[in-house]
Amino acid sequence: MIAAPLSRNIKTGLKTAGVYYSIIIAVFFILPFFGRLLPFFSFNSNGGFEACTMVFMFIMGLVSVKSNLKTGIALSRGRTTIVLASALSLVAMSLVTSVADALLNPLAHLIHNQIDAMGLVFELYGVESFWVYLAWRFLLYTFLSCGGFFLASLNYRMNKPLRWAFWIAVPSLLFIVLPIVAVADQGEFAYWLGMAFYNCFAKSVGNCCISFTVLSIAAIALSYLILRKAPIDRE
Amino acid sequence: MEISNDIQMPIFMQVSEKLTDAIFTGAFAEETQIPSTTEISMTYKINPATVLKGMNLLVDQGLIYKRRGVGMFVKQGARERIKTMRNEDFSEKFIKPLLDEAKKLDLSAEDLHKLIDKEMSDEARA
Amino acid sequence: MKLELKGLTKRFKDVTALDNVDLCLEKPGIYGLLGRNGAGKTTMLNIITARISASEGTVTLDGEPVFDSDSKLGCMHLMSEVNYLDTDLRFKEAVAYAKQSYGDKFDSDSAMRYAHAFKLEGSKKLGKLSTGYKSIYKCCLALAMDTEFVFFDEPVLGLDANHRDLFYRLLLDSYQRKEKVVVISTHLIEEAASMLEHFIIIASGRILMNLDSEQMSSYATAVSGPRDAVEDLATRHSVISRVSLGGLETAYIKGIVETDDPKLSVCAVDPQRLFIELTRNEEERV
Repeated sequence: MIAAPLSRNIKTGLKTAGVYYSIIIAVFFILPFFGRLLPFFSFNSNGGFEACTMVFMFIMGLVSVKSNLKTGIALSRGRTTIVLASALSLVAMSLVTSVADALLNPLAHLIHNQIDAMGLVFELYGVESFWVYLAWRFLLYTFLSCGGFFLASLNYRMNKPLRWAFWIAVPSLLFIVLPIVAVADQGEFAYWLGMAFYNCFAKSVGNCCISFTVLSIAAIALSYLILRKAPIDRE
Repeated sequence: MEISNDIQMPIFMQVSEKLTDAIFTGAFAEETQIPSTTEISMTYKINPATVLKGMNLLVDQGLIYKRRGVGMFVKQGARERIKTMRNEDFSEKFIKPLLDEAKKLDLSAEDLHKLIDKEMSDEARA
Repeated sequence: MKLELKGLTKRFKDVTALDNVDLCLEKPGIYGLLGRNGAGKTTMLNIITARISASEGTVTLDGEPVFDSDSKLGCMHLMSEVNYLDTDLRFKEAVAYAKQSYGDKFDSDSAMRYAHAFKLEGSKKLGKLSTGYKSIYKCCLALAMDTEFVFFDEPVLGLDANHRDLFYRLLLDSYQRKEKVVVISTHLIEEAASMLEHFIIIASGRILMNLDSEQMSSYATAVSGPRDAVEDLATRHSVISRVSLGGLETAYIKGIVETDDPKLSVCAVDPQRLFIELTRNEEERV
């Protein structure tokens, strides 16, 4: 029963990804050549197109909530199936983009002759395996898109005043309260937070992969709870 | 506000009336197939159940019959039958209301006869 | 299959859109869901098809809850004014999706046949169509559904007279292709009345009447004539409403009324007139 909404979600995702990669290839792989040919137009790229894909996947998660809900309901599916189809399609899209990025990476390295994303990851975790890198990147994209999906679900369910409160409270908590707390307790909290972050994401590639997986599952589970009874009756 | 004086005919009666008329005028000839429920329903935008009810009325009156797997056909002698039925109904349908109205207008039987004779001769001249 | 609404209530912030509604739909047929603007028709259909959740009460299909069940929801389809499909979806792609999701309960050939009758091209995208053709796009999909329940919420919105006529005829074609429970919510009662076997009238979130077409046509009688004669008759019956024009008065009286009084004329009340008389507000008596 999940096939119809899932295939629709993936088809829509692939269409968007097609547009995205055309732009990426144009900007990162074709423009630099013109840059070399024309001395006045020297294109200095840092070669980090993976950063763009990260943003792309996050936005993909954000924008898929509303359209997936609407199409899912139009295809007469229950909420569980709709959320599951969304999650699976985000996982599938993450797989597609991580493979595409991993394959494009050596090419980017060749053109830009600079330290690249893959190199950075190898340096950070002290491993040098293409497959580990691919798995890590796949889980990173899954995490980002599921996170985007969760935030958009939250936004979908909140009414206007709540939305304002939330989008003011969260950034101010992060950028005002947190630094104040950090200063007040003389770095103890900041240290604790930093260590937690280090242990989860930087200590080893394995830890990081587990963190991404757990957070992705949590994001989808929370989204499910949020969307379980959400009204789907507006355009 | 309703100005119409007669109680409207239920839709299934209207269907049977239309079909009867078609048989009587020869539009649906005897021993030929009449349109299906679906066709009638779609043409007049009438619920198929209502059409069926109207058709059953014709079956009961012995005007049409069912050929299994083919459809409804006009019975031999249906036209003659309709004529007889209409003759029987004539007084109920036309004379009675005429008399009711005549009563309101205080017209005597003689007045009525005169009026009818006049109309008939007018029509003959035209 | 038996669709049952029990004690269905829906409260929005400041209004009760549905108030303890009980309804059972089982026998195939064409049902009219009639109600004034804001009576709760769309809310009811949206709850049945799990687009919104009820505040209280249940919707069950053969005794099992519908809300999160793919198989139960797959037995129904709602064509609504709101567009749920992607705006860049071509009609033929929508047909393919519908086939994929409804399987045997969707007839692709009929969908294309209906679209052809409306001159809707398969390559047309939903978002690029006019209001009328957006309705037609969704109608063609809904007409091709062979699900046990098909709901139309204002299907003829923005359609011209010819297209409305075509829609009604195709609806009968669709119904006769496969018998099912078809529910049409519409304001154009006069146009649809002859197709309806059953009338469900809803007013301020409650089911006011649930009658078949025969009960509907004998539900009320219009009696008109001189005021005192009508008055005299009215005192002996239950009166729905009254309209007067000088000394001439018309009373809409419940049930079938017969009278020998030659000054009074008696006639049946058509569904649209009955609906208007039953649901008229005090403010509207001008």
